Amino acid sequence: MTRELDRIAAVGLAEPPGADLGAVDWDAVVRDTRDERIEALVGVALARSDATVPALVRADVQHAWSQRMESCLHLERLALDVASRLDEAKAEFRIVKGTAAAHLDYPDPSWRGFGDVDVLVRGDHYDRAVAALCAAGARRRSAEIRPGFDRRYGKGVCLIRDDGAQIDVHRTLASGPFGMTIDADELFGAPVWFRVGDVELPALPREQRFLHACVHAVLGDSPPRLAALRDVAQIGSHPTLDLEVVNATATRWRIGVVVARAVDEAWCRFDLAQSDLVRWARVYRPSRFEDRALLAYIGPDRSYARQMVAAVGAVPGARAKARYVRTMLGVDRGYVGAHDGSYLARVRRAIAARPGARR
Amino acid sequence: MLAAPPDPMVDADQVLGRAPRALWRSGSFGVVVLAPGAPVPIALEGSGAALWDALDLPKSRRELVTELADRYASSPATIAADIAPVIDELVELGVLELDR
Repeated sequence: MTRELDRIAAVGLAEPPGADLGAVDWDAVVRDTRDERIEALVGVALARSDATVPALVRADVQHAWSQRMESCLHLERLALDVASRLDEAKAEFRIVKGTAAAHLDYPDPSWRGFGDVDVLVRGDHYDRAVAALCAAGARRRSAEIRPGFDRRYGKGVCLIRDDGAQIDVHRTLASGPFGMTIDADELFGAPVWFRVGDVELPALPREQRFLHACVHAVLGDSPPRLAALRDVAQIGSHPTLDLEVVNATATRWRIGVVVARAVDEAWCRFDLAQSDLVRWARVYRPSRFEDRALLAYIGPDRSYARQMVAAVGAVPGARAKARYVRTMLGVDRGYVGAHDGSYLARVRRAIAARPGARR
Repeated sequence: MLAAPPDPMVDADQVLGRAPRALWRSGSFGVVVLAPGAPVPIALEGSGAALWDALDLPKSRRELVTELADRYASSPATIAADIAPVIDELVELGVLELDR
């Protein structure tokens, strides 16, 4: 099943799936595409195929694609509202992930579905951005460890509106150690723009979108969703992607291991042809820091706590490290009650989350 | 005596276009469009989808009818009669705009 779905999700990148789509277990495909968020890619693949597929299956696939697109239109309207409120709050932002990828990286926006609005906000403007969105009716899905923690150390916050729509406000691209090494200020250089309705929205340049896609694919869900890997392959295959800029930025941000892993996995899953990018990825030698940092995100012991503890090593300077540790342990009572039960339990959890700790 | 049906080519030079603030997607499922202020998207199929597709750039009713008549190998009069109520409905829904 997985191979079939991988092959279908490679539509437009690899050889067309072709007539053998008729032999696919479509009940399973229709069921799994929702979890993988690739209803659109399955719809495109089937529309391009001359395979003999039962009419009911075609109808199901088209219905799922259409439903996903309708949801995306609502989310685009929400993205416009978010942009307007952030402009009013004078908070600099970039629209990232699904909404931007759909318009900037795919042959047509209808190829890329998404399930929320993702916005990256400049760190200095983070608190007022979240306040502006909360004043407009959104609420935090989880409490902040302590006031100011997210702005200083966090990846961001998930906001939920009464209608269930989700706005992910990012301060940087990752939590944990890689969140410390990625220079979030660099993400606020000259933006590229894309149009939604009659509004131009700012996004990251292609090389940064590619790095973000790699970070999301490798450090996000485990195992990564097909939609995330497809973004890596889609942007990574673009003829104007500047590999020198990608390499220099990945080196500066100490995320070469993340990029190499994302590229290798995407190219394997979609069975894509060799390229300079994939040749680079397959001979990449990560530093000791990168190898150790990656362990906090992958494997059976991955957890947010482990990532936050692993981040201590990436905080520059002894005083800053001490301040970071104090901040992690000196959390709000409400946060501790919800997450750890007691301060003692939190300290024990932090010790257990140390890299190499016995479990 | 019955009143004559409205002439679908009245205002043939009137320019039609997609509402700039409308959000939309198209695919083999047809076209879904979320008009400004509308609570839910509308789905366009058949002549509605063809009309939307043809209006990738604003054009007059006359140009629109000519293009669709060529595409579907039909008479301009038939096309004009077919699309007139669809245009009215889509303008009413805020999906299309008229340059009056």
